[in-house]
Amino acid sequence: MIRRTVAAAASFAAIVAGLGLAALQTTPAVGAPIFEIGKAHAEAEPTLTGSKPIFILLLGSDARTGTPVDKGLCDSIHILGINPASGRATLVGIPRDSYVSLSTGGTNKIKAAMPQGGPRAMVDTVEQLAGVRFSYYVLTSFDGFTRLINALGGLEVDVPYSFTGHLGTGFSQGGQTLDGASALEFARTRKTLVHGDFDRSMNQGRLMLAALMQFRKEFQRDPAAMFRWAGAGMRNVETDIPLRELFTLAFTASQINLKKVTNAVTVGTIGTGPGGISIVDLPSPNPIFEDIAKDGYILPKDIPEENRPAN
Amino acid sequence: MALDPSAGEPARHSRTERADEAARRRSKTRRRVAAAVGVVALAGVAAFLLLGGDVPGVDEGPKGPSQYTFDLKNVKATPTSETPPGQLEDVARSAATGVEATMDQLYFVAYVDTDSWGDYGGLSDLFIGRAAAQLETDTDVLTLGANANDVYDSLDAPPGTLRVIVLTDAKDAPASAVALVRFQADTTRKQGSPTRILSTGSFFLHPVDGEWRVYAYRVDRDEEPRSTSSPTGSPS
Repeated sequence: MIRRTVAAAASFAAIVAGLGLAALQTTPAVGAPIFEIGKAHAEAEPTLTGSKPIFILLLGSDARTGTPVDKGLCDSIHILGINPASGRATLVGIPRDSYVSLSTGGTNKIKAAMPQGGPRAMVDTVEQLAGVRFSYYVLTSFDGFTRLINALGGLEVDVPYSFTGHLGTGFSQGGQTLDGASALEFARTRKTLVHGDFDRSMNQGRLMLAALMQFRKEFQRDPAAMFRWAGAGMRNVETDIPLRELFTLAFTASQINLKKVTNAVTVGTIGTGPGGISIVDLPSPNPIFEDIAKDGYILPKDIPEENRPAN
Repeated sequence: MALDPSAGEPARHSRTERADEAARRRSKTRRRVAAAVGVVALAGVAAFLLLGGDVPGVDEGPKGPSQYTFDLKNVKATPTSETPPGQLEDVARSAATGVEATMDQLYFVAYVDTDSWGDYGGLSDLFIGRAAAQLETDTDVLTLGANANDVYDSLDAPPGTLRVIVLTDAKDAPASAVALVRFQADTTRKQGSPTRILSTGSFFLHPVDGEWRVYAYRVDRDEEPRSTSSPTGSPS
């Protein structure tokens, strides 16, 4: 009798204890979040951080096929400023005929610094002119630029006004896809533009912004586009940007809001230099250089009226 | 016959002693019963835990496979030199093998390995830089979830698909890679409801000391109720 009582009690106790423990352990802790069914997204990308601006010198050489890229004259000169903290960026074009003191000695058109001392001389010359310190430079040639655009499948450009290129191509106002040759003509045309060298420099900036817009669009659609752009870029430019830094810059570019990117050209006037050559005189102090040197960007409202881009 | 008051004492004592003896026996029996109940209860709990109990956090949880392997669908080289991509196929394939090993390990720990559910410390070695710093924040997107043990009973994952693009440097050595991932798994939740998880994304990797490590990612995780009559394919 006692044994039966003991056995029954033990069985009951075991069942109660077991079920109780099981119930305790299969019930999530109070307050523990339960993962909900649905969609979720996460991304982590190395981007520039901090409040210190970064400056990159973008150069286009007119070296033809067979000539070393750093022996040509600089046809395109742009300061790219990026302010990571504010997410703003600015391009400042410097007309190639700007008559300035060269780091290699003497005073001449700024484009002449390149054949005298290569990209290093261009970096030093623009640094002393604009009061900025460059982290990197990027240099390409006519051929490299053309191949680059073709490798990307052309560039979607919003042409601000109709004009005829120096090789006779008619550029109609509005959005269109330019191949490498057309994009090069768009970037080089000067004489048919109202403000000559200034408008040309502005158009070069437009191509760069178009490239940024296209990169962002393609990267959002397919992150692997990053490598296509990096490969095409590195094959057709000379730069001192290490590959891993290039990715940091590219991820940063992918996140920059285009509304926070300003395309500007330095203030200045077209004049006549020694021997009657056509030159561009830059004022000193130069409000555009002072503005970008301060924090890496310029707000559109701070660009003098006469220097604001057409359209 | 006169009654000797003292004569009756032994008899009275005897009744008291018998009563006390009976009480002691009852008490002893109760103690024995209580002890037996305790021992058997403990044995019952132990047997429940060892033999049939489904108690995550105490037992080893559901048993899963010991590894996970993606199906490497496509490998492509993107040169930064003038070397034609076709000449870099071997370089790219070799790099892709390393990338695949990292991705296999990542998804094994993140989803397939039941021992890792809820504790994904094994992932930290696979990430570097910003991606490593953000790993904890993104746990519920990159993995089965921080509370996976509370939520899921089982997970069945057939091989996912992997595409790898390898960027080579100026010397044609692998410099970076992007792994495009599609991972799908069928789960059973503890409430018994079946779901299907789809994890798709891009992982950017650099070689670090001979291993490929994730330095950036863009990942989407989607989980939807699943009809039990729609298998995902071969079970893992």
